[in-house]
Amino acid sequence: MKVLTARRAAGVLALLALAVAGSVIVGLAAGPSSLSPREVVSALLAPETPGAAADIVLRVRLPRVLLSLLVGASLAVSGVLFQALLRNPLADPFVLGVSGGAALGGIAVLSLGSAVGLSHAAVAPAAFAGALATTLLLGLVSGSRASPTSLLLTGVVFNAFASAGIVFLASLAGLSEGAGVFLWLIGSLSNVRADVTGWVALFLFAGLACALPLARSLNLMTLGEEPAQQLGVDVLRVQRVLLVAASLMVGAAVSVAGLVGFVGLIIPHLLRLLIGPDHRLLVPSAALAGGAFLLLCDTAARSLLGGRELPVGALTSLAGGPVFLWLLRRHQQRIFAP
Amino acid sequence: MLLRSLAASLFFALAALPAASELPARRVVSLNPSLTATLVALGASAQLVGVDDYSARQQSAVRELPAVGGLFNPSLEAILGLAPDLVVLVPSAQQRDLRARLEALGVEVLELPNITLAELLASIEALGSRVGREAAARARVREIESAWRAVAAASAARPRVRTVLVLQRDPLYVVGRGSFIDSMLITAGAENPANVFAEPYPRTSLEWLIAAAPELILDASEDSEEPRDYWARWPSLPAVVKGQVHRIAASEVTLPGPFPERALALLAEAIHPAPGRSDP
Amino acid sequence: MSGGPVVLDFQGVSAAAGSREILRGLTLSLHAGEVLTLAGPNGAGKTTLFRVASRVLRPTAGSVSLLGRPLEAFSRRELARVLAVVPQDATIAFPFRVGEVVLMGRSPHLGPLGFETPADLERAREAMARVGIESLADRSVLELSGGERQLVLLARALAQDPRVLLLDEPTAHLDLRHRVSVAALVRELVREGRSALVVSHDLGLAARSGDRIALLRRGELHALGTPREVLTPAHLRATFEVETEILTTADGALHVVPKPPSGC
Repeated sequence: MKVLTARRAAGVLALLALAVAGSVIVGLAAGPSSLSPREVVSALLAPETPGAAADIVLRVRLPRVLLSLLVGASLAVSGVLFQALLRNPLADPFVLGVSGGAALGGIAVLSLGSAVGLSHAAVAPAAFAGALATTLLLGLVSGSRASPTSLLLTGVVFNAFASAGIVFLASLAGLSEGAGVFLWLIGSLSNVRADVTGWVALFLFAGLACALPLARSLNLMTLGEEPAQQLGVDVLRVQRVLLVAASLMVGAAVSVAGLVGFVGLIIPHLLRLLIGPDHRLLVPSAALAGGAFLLLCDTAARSLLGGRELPVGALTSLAGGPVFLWLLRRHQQRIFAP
Repeated sequence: MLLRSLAASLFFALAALPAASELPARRVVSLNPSLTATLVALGASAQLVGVDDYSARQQSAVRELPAVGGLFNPSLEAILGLAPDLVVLVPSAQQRDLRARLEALGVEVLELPNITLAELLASIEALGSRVGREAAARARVREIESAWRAVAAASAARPRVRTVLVLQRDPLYVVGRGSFIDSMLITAGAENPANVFAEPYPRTSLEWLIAAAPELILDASEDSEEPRDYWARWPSLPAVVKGQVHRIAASEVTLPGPFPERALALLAEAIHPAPGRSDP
Repeated sequence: MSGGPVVLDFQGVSAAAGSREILRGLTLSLHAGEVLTLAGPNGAGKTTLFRVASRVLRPTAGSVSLLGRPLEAFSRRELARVLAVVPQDATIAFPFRVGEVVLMGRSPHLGPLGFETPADLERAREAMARVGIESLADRSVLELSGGERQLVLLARALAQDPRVLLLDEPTAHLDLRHRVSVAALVRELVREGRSALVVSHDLGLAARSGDRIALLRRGELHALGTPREVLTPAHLRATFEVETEILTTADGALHVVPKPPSGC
């Protein structure tokens, strides 16, 4: 009988950690300005030396590598959590409307901020405030006993409302803000500030700290709320804690990077295909795999076209879609219930 | 000279005039602020009966005129309600539809691109010709050309300064190759490393900018953080090292209009400051 | 038979779903070592009774005690170690393997963190063997038929190692052979010291393998006793509104035969 053992979990996680390390190396070494490996290494080893190489490696690439790891991890982990809580393998982190609220807040500042004297730095906090407000509203509207269906429907309504607001704001925006709005909607990691990176890390690790001990309960909850409760799970508490943790993770990630699609939906699926649905391994694996995936996509986004930069959200969809379809064909039965 | 004739023929090819009368237009609607400003500068404001919202907001000379909508969504109804005999606009994806619909309704439309310097000069001449102010237009163009020659001569003797003009910080948009801003930079004595991008306003990455090592950064973004503080985050930039990071007002440099020599003077001052003057 | 101590006791229990009252002042006791079958028309409150017993639903009136203690006195995990519910059906949306699902039954016995011990694995294997689904251990639950899924749910409940089993129509999707074997399994489990409350529509099977039968209608108890006492045309008419004939075969087994309505 094949079951998850500690040894197998450690093995998978070690492999994924290696993948992350490899991605970091690629991320630091690759870029539109051709730096030799030696230049990169010496910049890392002697950070105080002046010069363009140090600036590029330490103040452009390194912060972006870190941020893409954190954002990718946040999106993938929250995807796993939402899919488990909603008992729906097609849920993604944006489905409950939290990202819509974040987008509304961020785009409001993007479009109208300069008119009221707000600098670009205010976009991320505004987006996060939007995410928080939506999470609170979600909790209030759905009440204490929210079924997955009612949560999903509430999310649909929130997202529709947010989309309307965004379109309205975008039409008010001028040319230059319009580009910013577009990039935000598709997802881009070009805005990296040390302070926001810290927040993303905070909510990611706080979320993981909540989710890992509850991973076994999550397994049981996929059986249904009542069966899980009959097996000893405090379903209400698990739902509340993890919904909030996941929403905050998404909120932080989205307020920094915009609506980067695909990572939160497909990485959990891919991992389930490859390592099984046991959340004790799935949750930490999602963090590592999601981070590495987004890091590689972002590296490609900023390196492929010479001096030009693509938004990372375009690449996550382009890259991930075909890979997933291929895997899906090979393992058809194992994902969707008949 | 050759450039101007080329530009003029370009204009005639683009602004097809189907059975248009030779009389100057008396009721003109302008859908672009730079065209509005040009008409006003040529002394034709009396012939303007309507402008776009942006012009109405920004230009005092036309504040009282009816506004027919934004730059990207002017109202067909409002335009028609003013019974214009000429509508002038700058080609854009959003207004392409509008031109066809106006022409189908029998309204004459003059489409005047103004991205390159040659196009800008051609648009001044085309407008002047169409509203009966040819002399004023030719005089304006001559002044612009002589200002250009003067600045070019002054900067010819000096070494070129590697300059990047940042239009927006995040996402990073810079002035690339082909726009009139680019030609101003070159004329004023700058070397524009963003010339490698064949687009007028390309989007690029920080990494590229750092590798390009500009000696002067002109920051036309509208962000409230001081350019000096912002760009100081990458201390290897020669512009940061030399203290050559300046804010310039986007409205004065990046918007095409009838007085581009003012922007040219501003840029020339930034690139090769006159001795004895402090930094702007 | 019903002489053992009371393990699960419902005293005047009323319960509602939303604003609709489903159970009305129900009083019923399950004794150690017995199989008590609950029968009744749809909507009579049988599943609701299970939900009250497993503390998924709180009663609006009355009390429930388990093994002599009030139900509220148990912690969630304690309760799950003692009482197991086999639901009618379950759709699982994720590709867990049968072995993994059965192993989830061990969850109330595990520590807060950590993985299952070899002992837990052994229990799960035993449970699957008793139910007869060892060969399905590595199959994905998404690939199973309705009947196979039902057997998995039964094995999972067994893995919980409970004293009291609540089985909600455990043979609904099963073929004849499995119906017989599951009924025999339940008898075996009960002989080993457990107790079972079984919801079933199969009155004949209830008569053969159950110790007592309770007839429920509209949340109230209409009849309670041995099969011979309960399965009478009068009781069945009152409960199901159907005319029946009770036949006794040579081996002494009772069979309920519904009579078609007159005029057919």
